[in-house]
Amino acid sequence: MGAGSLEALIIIQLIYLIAALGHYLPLSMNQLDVGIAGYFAIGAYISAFLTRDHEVAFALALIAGSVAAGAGALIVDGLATRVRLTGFAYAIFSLSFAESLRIVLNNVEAVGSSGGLVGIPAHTTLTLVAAIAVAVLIGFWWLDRTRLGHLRTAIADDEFVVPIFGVPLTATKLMIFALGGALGGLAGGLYSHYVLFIRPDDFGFALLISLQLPMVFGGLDRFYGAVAGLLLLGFIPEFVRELAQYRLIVMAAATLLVLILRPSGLITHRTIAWVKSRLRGAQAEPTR
Amino acid sequence: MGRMNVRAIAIAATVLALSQGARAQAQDLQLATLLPITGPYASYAVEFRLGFEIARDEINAKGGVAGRQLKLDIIDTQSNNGQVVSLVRKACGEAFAVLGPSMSNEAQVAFPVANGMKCPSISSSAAASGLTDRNRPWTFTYASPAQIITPQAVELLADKLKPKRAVVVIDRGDAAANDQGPLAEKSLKAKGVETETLTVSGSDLDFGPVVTRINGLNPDFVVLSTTDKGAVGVLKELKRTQSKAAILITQSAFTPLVTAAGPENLEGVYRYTEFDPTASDDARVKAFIETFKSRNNGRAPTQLATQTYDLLFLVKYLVEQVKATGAADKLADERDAFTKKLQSLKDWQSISGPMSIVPGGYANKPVTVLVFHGGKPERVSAN
Amino acid sequence: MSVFLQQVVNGLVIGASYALVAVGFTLIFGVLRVVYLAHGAVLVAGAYLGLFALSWLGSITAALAVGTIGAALLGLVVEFVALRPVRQQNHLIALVTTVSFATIIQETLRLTVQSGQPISYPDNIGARLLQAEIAGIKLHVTVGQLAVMVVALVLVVALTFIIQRTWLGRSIRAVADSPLVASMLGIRVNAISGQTVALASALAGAAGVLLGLTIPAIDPYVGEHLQFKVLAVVLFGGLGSIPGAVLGGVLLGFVEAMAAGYLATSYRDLFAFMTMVVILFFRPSGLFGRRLVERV
Repeated sequence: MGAGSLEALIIIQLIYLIAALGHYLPLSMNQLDVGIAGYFAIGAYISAFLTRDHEVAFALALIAGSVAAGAGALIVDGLATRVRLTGFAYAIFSLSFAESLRIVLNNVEAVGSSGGLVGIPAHTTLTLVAAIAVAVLIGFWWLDRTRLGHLRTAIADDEFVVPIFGVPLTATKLMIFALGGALGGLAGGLYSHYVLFIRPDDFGFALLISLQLPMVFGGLDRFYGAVAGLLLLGFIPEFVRELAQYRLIVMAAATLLVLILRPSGLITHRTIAWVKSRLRGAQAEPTR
Repeated sequence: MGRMNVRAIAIAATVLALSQGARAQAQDLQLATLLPITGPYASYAVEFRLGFEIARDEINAKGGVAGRQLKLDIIDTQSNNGQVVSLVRKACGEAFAVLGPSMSNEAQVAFPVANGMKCPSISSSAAASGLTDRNRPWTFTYASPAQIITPQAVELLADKLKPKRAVVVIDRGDAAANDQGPLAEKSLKAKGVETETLTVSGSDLDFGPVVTRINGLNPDFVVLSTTDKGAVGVLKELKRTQSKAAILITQSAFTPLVTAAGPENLEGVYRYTEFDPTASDDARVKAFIETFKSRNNGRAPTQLATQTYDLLFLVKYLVEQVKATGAADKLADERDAFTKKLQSLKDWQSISGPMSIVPGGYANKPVTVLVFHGGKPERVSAN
Repeated sequence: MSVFLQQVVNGLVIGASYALVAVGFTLIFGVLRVVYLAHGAVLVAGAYLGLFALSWLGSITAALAVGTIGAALLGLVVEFVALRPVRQQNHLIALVTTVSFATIIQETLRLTVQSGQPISYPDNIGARLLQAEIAGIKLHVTVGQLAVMVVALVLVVALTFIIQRTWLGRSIRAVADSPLVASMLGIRVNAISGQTVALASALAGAAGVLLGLTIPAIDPYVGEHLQFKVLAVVLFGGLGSIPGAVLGGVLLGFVEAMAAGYLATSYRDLFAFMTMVVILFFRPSGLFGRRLVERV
């Protein structure tokens, strides 16, 4: 594989990683917001529209896309929280928004409808995406050590107890949702300025599954799971070219197998504790 | 002794020189193509791939390209545009020229990359408007774009049939249908035909509602710019309700599935295409059809397969014309010569007739309008 | 007026298909209470099995039988492999396992039948047009469409009978109410789960065959799209409610027919999704179903 090609592959996988981490935020609080494809699309379309048609600086366009996506997440999750949806219902609710957006985009001529948006200026570089990905990963690591992070964990553990401690439950949740959506939008903006051509069908169920499968496979307990899952399922097919026709069926079977044998996914907090204890050579107590 | 040594050395030197030459000639012609082998678009790739493979086998059996064996690397895009960038970079790094992607939306992503890498890329079938114009001088498409052939076909029929009222049915969810439908609408209106546009969705289960609506408008001309499933659905329903309208099926809507609708349903139905292999009398085409059917469960090919088949022969012609050797140090020059030769292509004998490449980078081929009688397509002439 | 009545007939046909699929779907959700997204793939598998049966045996009844039984067996496998191991986990896991299984089904069909290209049911009696005149108004329907309505009705009635009057039905209802109590009463919850999915899958298989008879062509992905619309129906009627599913299915078919007949139709799919949003927001339990919202 040539150098230019490997670089391009790394860029797209890092973009997916950023989106997956954005998707992870609500999931880590047991809120099944699966509208990530929609937030990704918002970021992709808005930033592309700004840079292509209105000569807005790339950084500004990216931010605009993220903010819009974050706002989208706020609306969807705000409504869902208001009605106190849970589990499966939440998933269908958010998915419906994402799919509705896709159908609307297919019909709006101004952004090319189903033919797509062409001629997006190329701005995404490996350095930029890598820097953002590293920043996001550090952010996640650091988040767990801040008050907001502890709140997130508390909400995940037992949502109903949290308000007792005087914490504005809804506001906290919404903040985290918006952050998740914004990350999705950021990844979307990086995506559109990498492929230079986007269309609504790029942001459908297939995108959702391609993000979710590796995450569930890698483990939802910690964000390291998403990283591990994407690395494994993203890069391995590259080196097993002979799979070709059977790629999808093998991946689906592998995922099914892993989840049956180990429903928590590959990496759990115990795995991390084990790794840490190995690294430090000392007894590390598995903490939550 | 000295003489023998000299002779030995001379023989050795000659053998060495000849083997060097032979090695240079035996260098394979490495090409690559990007196709959606897996994913939602996998069924399209079947025809593209088979056309390429049949051509490759034929060319290699007859001695290859100027003695060089033709190697075609078929790369899977996974129907995912996000993968295309890295895959086209890989292809351009390894192959002399890239044949594809064949899918319009994948070409939209690949062509800017290939153009930037000065890598000649020819798509067999991408017909999206403006695609090659935007990516000069290194990218081309073997197909005639929709904005050329759709108006040609619609205008021909409008002049011939002189309809008073028309309905154009568009599936907005399909990019090709959404490209061709409005073009048809525009042409009809330019000819003074009262035209209305209705939309369908390819995933519809029942076309009763939309056909009831069409019949209510009482048109004498209906254009179906949809997916193949949509076209079959509307067509069958129109026939069932004994609609008297003349029906035109666009190029993208017509696949073997529509042929399977049966001679009764297709009686008097029009379609246009860049080329219909089953309507050709050419012996070479007939042979191709037989080979294709034997490798595709008896299903006949459409222009999608003949485009990839013929494209490989076009590449063979060009490579032989510029005498490309495949030497690594000559790559840039040979690619340059190849591309210039392609850009200036005039009246090359393609499988569907004489073909030229226009400055915009696409093929100029006359459109074929056909009508079905007794299950067989016949050419329609402009009166 | 005749146009309107014809649209009503069209709506009933579409609605019958939705209702048939929705009834099985709602049963699974009501009893197993996890995300189950393999129903569409099972439907398609039934459709393909029916196609083979029709091609080899030439009878629609045989096709229906093969499609129904084959789908039921497949449903048993899905429950055992993709649901049973992960029922207690996060809903997302079940979503991923059922989608993975659906992918396996779809890919298997794609790799074995015509490389995934759309394929039509062979010519059969289903295409014959029947015309009737009622009070001077001409209406038409095909034999296939009529079959859809009749078979859907028969199967729904049969299922309701099973649920209300048989021991299996009582067990299913018990498990749906409370798996814990049911197991305390000696009901083997796992076995019941498997049988529920099998029953629902049988209906999906029948729906697949009927679909094959009425639509121009099938490919491995027709089930996926249908699944989302039927999800809207199931939510509307309430998870676990059969009358709700029937009502919802017929209503959606009706709405779609009217929308196609009288409105800008490219937004048609939007109706289903927006309906889901509205229902979940205003009445998450649907018309007749149990609550999906947790209260302290």
